[in-house]
Amino acid sequence: MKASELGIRESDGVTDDVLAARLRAGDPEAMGEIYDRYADRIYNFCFRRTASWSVAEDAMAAAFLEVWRVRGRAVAYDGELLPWLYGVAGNVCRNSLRSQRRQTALGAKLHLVEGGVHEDDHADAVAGRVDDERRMAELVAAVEQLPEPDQQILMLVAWDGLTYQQAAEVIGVPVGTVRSRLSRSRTRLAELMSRSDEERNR
Amino acid sequence: MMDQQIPERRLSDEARARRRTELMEAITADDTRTRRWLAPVAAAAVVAGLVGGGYAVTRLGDNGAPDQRPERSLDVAGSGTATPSTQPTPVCGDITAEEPEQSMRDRAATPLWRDPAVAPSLQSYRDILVRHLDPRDAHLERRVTNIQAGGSPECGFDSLGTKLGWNVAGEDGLGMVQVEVSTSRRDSQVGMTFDVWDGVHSGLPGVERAEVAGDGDRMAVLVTRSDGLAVGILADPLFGNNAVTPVSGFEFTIHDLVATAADPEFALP
Repeated sequence: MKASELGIRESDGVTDDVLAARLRAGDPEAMGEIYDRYADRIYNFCFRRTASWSVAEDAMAAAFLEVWRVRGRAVAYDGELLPWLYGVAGNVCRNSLRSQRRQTALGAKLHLVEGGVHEDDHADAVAGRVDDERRMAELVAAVEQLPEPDQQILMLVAWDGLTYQQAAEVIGVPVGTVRSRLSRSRTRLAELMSRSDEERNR
Repeated sequence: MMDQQIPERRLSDEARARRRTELMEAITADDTRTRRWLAPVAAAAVVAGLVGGGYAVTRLGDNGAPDQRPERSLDVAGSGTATPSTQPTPVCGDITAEEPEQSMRDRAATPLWRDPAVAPSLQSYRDILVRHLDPRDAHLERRVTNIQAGGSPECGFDSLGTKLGWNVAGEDGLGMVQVEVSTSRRDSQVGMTFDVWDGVHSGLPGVERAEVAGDGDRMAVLVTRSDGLAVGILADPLFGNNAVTPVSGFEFTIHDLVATAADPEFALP
């Protein structure tokens, strides 16, 4: 999806470096600008971790609150704030998933989401959301079979669109490690998805 | 492959606006709470620094994010609003709690870590730590908002130091690196942190004595220079004041800490 489709105002004159500096200085307006610029990106990022649009919306909101709480550490890697935001949001999504899993199994969770969709949503839209969630849940379930470090790299590069360098900065590993782990995890995930398809078609 | 299969959506306009309003209300409330908290803490720190030249520990702002707005008058302990005034002549060596209240208010309005006589030294401490321990500048807290000091700008310091958070990307925890420069080993708080210190041979110029200590995951070094100045550095995976989760570890060794503490650029203001 293009940045403009996600509501990112690329033509804005304020660079992420400037926004990061203002955020570190405790400027609430900078926080608002960061939200305007990246809310959709973080929303989708959280969906890719939670496989639920409603949970993703809550997690997105919690992530921005956390961003404000840890604003003193804000940093733009290569002039982009997004990798750091992803780092913060990733922690929030992990915590959100943990607490959610303590309360309910995945099936029950999907059922709740289905029931929780706004009543005025068009039927097709509702079906679309639920379909999204089912597909995402399958992907997330497959990815979770990979080692934890591989999961992170796969999601950050293949799903979230970070460069190798940015992913390396977020995770704190060398770029070469990102490359090798990504290659390994792509291969492994393809095997897992293929096996999953075979089982479903039996 | 699966990259194309991943669904993406935009937030609805209603959700976007509602969440934004909630966020801005929350951070505005947080900002107000922080500023209400700053005044009494700053005043308490000044009193602690004045009485007996003790160690005044101030942690201003949360998570390395001090209030950067223009200086405001502070209402210290409900005693009125501070106004600029000429500094009274400092009385050193016999400082008591009878220090004029106006002076205390003036000092509270300028936190010690922002004092022009102190801030450059604290910043230089961070620069030295970054140079030796965090050359990519990826881990150490960027803003120095914490100070441990014995003495005062007017009367000189027996010791000056700071604690900086240590972040590891992708981890929830927060570690800490404390550095302290003191006029002698005896005055070093880092030195007092551990009962047992082992002497090591550093072979570094200007170093009269180098010692190391540790327990659990903590490690510390104390270097006494030939001019008598002592530099202590303590690395702790858990920044106990500010976090409950430790980081997984540090990228440096205790030998790196010794070399850092031996850096001749460490100096008192």
